[in-house]
Amino acid sequence: MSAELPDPRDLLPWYVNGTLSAAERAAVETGLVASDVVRDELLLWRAVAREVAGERGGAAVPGADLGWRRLSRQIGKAPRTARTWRIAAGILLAALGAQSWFLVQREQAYREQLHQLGAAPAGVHDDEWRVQVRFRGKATMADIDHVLSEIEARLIDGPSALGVYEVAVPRARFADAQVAARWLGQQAIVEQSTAPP
Amino acid sequence: MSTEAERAEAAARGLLGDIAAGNQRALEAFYRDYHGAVYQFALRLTRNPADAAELVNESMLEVWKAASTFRGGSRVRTWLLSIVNHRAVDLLRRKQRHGGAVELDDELVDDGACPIPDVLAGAQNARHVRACIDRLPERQRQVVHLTFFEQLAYPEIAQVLDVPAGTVKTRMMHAKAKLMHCLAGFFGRGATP
Repeated sequence: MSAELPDPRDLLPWYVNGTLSAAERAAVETGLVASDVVRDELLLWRAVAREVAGERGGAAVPGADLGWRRLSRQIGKAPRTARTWRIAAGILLAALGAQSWFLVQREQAYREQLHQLGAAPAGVHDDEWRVQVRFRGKATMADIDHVLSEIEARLIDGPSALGVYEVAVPRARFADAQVAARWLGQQAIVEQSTAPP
Repeated sequence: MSTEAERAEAAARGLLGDIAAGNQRALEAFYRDYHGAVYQFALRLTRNPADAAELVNESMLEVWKAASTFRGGSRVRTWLLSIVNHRAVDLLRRKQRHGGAVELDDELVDDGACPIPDVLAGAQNARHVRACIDRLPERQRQVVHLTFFEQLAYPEIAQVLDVPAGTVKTRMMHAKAKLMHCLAGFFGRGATP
């Protein structure tokens, strides 16, 4: 075989997945006719392909909703060009300058927001307690998912501008909303949790 | 590409154009279309569901920031998976982790030493095939995943991994040698190799 022609054995995986060019496919098919070794290796790759393709129904892919909610919160803050980086840096400096004022106001705003959210959102069922939770900045959606699934709770709204999530907790799990809020508050990823009146 | 694949590609390019223009709804549609593929590839790279979920987030954030850099020289899926790969490399470096599974070493195993009947007998058992794939070194596993799960051509895999096409073939050749050695071990010795 000329050195210019590809070795059909090197191309077999992509012969199996159907992505070779016509010329490459022809080279492989010539090899398949001529060589037992090529035919045996084809069987090997087909077995590997079957096994890998079978993974499609395997590992559970997390739902898109939680991930999208997290991402949508971040993209408002994500700079998209070098110029916006500089603008963002300026804004950040200004924000740092106002930090002491902000820190004083933040807690008050948070409490006001909790008060405003006092009316139960439509997503809470009769057999659920409603708890408002603020997660720590480093908590990933996978972490949140893990904690909520432990008590079969679910996110029903949020995050608000201040990062407050509405969580629905099955009543069967806790005596009342305060106990549910206390349990959530004890989790490492939770910064603050409250049972609204 | 089939007509259906061409339609999906055209839709993805349309979404990327809208994302580049700052349309968040387009990003949401893109996220919903591709987060599954990104998660599967990330999970293959990291072997850790939490890390994979983190990579989905980081990669999609990168899409938001860098959609305007997509020049159309490759399929959108190829471009996206190359972002995931780069992010995964960063993440693994940050964590200084080398994966939990016992891996065969990176040296090329001589596949000529494996009796083909034993290899093929081992390959008939799906559990043996899975076990041997899982033991491949990370780089070889990536190539196997991109070939048979993502159904990418080898030049596309080269783009995703940012390596020459010849390197992709070499990694696959090494993967084959290790798979053959591993499968023959299952059959020939009647025990876990």
